[in-house]
Amino acid sequence: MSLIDLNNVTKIYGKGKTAVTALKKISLSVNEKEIVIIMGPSGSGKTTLLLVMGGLLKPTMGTVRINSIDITSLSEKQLPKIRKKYFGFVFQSPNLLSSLTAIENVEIALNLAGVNGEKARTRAKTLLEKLGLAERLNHLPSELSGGEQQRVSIARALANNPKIILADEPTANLDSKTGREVTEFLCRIACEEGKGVVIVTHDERIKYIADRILYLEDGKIIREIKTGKKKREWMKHTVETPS
Amino acid sequence: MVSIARRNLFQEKTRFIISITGVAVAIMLILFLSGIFQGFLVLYKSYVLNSGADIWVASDGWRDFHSISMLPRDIISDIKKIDGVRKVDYIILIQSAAFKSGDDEIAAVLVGFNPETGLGGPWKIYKGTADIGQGEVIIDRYLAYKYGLDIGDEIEISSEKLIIAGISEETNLVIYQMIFLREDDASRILNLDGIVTFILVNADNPSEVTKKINEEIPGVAAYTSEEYVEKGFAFMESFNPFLYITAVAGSIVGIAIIGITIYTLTTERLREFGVLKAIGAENNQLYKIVLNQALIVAMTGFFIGVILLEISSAAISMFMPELMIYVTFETLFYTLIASVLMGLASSYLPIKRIAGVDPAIVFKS
Repeated sequence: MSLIDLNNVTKIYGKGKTAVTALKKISLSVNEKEIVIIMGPSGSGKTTLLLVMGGLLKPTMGTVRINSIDITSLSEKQLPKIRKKYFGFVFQSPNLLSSLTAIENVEIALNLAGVNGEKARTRAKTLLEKLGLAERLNHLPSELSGGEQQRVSIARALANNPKIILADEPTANLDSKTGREVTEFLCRIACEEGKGVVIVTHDERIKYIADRILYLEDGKIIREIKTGKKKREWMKHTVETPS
Repeated sequence: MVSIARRNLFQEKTRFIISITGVAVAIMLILFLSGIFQGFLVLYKSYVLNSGADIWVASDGWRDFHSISMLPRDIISDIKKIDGVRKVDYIILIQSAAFKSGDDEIAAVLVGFNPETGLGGPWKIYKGTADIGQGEVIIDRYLAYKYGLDIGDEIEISSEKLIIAGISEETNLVIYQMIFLREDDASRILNLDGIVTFILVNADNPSEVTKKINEEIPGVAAYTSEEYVEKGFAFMESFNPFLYITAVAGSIVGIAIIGITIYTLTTERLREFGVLKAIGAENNQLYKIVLNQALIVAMTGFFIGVILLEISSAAISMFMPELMIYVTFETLFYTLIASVLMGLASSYLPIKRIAGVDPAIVFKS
């Protein structure tokens, strides 16, 4: 079942002579339990595509539908509610709130969605434990390693049980082993819970977890590769809790 | 909800302490000046309200406590005839009388009163007696302390020597202190034969008797004690602009301090606010964080400011006992409101800044 549908999405930055077309008539869908990797050179429009999908940027033309809701027609006031309900974001940098502990960084996402108190704490704790951070719940981001921070940010992205996880270069600031482990964890949990995952990355080494790889160049999808077989093989293996 | 506001503030403890101290000092200054002003009023009014009189009669045209009133003493017999009058007496009150103590030349408020009726006399005796005889005086406690005077010491008014027989309390009018002597001594020493400054009356129904005095006796202006206080100290209102300016200046300082703190805190964490926006925080939820931060600083500053005021008041009463700092509950309440407003006002720019944060910034490394 399709979770998100982009139909003829075009994004143009600027106007007149200075106008730059970042996305050109992109159409794509992401289904439940599907992992889509978007690759392409710098400036190809990968991040813009992710922003448009996540309702953080309005396309110049075309529609983005999530659960049949056209989010391009929503007001700035309505969009945060959609983001809270349907999307989980993982950024290149973990972007944790520096004054909050690991568990509070996850709790805050729940709080923003109206889940408070013990319920929020339990959910945050469960997620962090799943991600191997049971011993680090009350540590500040500055006391965590890069990999641990990114795992906290994954827990935060999963906190509100979103339909889709959008990840922008989640391994970029991590060493290759940690990066791979973190991505595998993200995708495993997401798939187990029936979510769709879209990952923008340069990292060729994580291609094996994808169902589909889209290559973007000059704002257009120039190639699409279905790699579901490799993913299925990977999913068969047990992934250990990252250290 | 996890308190981001509190966490953000407490993470930078030094900055938090500096901000709180700044706001506290601003609040303390506002309260301090208001307290001095109120203290002036309390001290001034306490004499009138503790004079024992229900009605004060001055000469017609008398404006306020600093202006001169002169009445013929004979008028007392006319006032006594008015229905409802129980007791009548007079005082001779001179605003700035000079006396000598050794080589010191001292100015004081001199009051000649009748110790038998006690009207207009000292109401709190610290030492000695209020029942003075001829050639005796009662001086204010601060005056005694300042010039090292005590019971049995001698002072000189218009070349006449008088012995200190009593020391009074709460007779310190900040700028001047009060000296009490018998009305006949005052009349003789000041050459005021047959002339008094105020007539003090006790009556069953002060309002009604006041009205009758004004109607029946020409050339006088009678006031109930409350009216007298109101009219007599109306001149104090001339200090109001000074007080308002101080309050406004203090508030501006407070707003600036809170504003800089919250603005810096917000600017430093714009990316974090962007993250919150990206993960679904609505602008109102973010504004609440900023407002909470500002209110935490303002409220903590207020309470510490009040504590600082208490400490400084205690220190001042030790080193400058002539000053009275009196902060009313009303003043505290309005200052608390002002602190809240300071917090709200100082949140304006940070909120504006947050409103403009594009959540997409978090996708830039």
